[in-house]
Amino acid sequence: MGNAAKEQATAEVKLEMTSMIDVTFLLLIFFMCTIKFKILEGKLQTYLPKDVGVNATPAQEMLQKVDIRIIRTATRDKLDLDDKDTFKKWRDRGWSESEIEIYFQTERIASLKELGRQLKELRKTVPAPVNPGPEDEDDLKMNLEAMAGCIYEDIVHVVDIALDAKFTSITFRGIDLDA
Amino acid sequence: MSKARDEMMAGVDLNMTPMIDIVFQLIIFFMIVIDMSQKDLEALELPQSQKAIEDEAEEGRLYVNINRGGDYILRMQPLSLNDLEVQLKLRVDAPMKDGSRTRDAQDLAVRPILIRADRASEFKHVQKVMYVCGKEGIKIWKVNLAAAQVAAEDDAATAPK
Repeated sequence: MGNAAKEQATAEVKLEMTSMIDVTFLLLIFFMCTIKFKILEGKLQTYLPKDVGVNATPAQEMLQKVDIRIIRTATRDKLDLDDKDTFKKWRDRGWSESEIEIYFQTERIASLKELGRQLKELRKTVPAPVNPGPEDEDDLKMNLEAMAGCIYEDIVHVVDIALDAKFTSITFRGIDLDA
Repeated sequence: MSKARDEMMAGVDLNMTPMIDIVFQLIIFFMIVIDMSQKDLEALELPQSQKAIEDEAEEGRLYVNINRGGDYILRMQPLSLNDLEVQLKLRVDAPMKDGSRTRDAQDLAVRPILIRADRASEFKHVQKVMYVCGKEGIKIWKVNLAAAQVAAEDDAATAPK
């Protein structure tokens, strides 16, 4: 009799795990829903000109200007991706958001790779500054003109190529703020 | 004696209510903390760049997000360009955490700015933010453009054609 009562009492002392498991699962679901995998986010470091207004320094003759113009010709969202050729073309472009035409000086360039090659050729004639800055300016000045409709991704690709060719002075041509 | 022991044993049960309370408090805490840390960074698809350098947040940096539709978003708040200008003017001269000066000897802002634009947003919006940064009363010259870094093995696959 005594033994049976003791066994019964011991059997009653048990942890009620259900609630804890419920809460744990709630937490798990919560963190699964809210977690954001860290994207390797980087930056392109740029500096705006410090001097405002007319620059008192006379223009140097030796500076060589490189004009790049980008015109957007197509956008991905308006493509017929059921068309095999279009699909293949866009897939080969890495599913870029748009298609662009690039003009180097006044000449149409076939691709970004070709632009990179030409910029590197040009760079061979004018050495890049060792320590780019106000004291050691780049004699090659790039003017980048993004025509209306150009998207940020296109510009980043062109800037990438310019940086690869060791261009350190890139100017974005002004825009009409009302446009 | 045996009865008293039985009673004592029967009373040993765990009260789960405080634990659940604490767990819920923890959930609320994490929800608030996560919200706070994400306020500056809008969920955007950044363009991939092979030349982007590792981003280390500098002291007092400001963030402007631009989504696909061309909205300027400052701390989760969509703003017009004029409102953005007003907000930047207010924030650029807000005291630094360490008490240091907010402007240098040339009256240029010490704070840098990070422009985070969606890969498909029009570049003119980025240019407009740059234009605002150069305005009197703001004068931010350290302007960084956000881009997703391309891992070495992905270079060939993502290289623009």
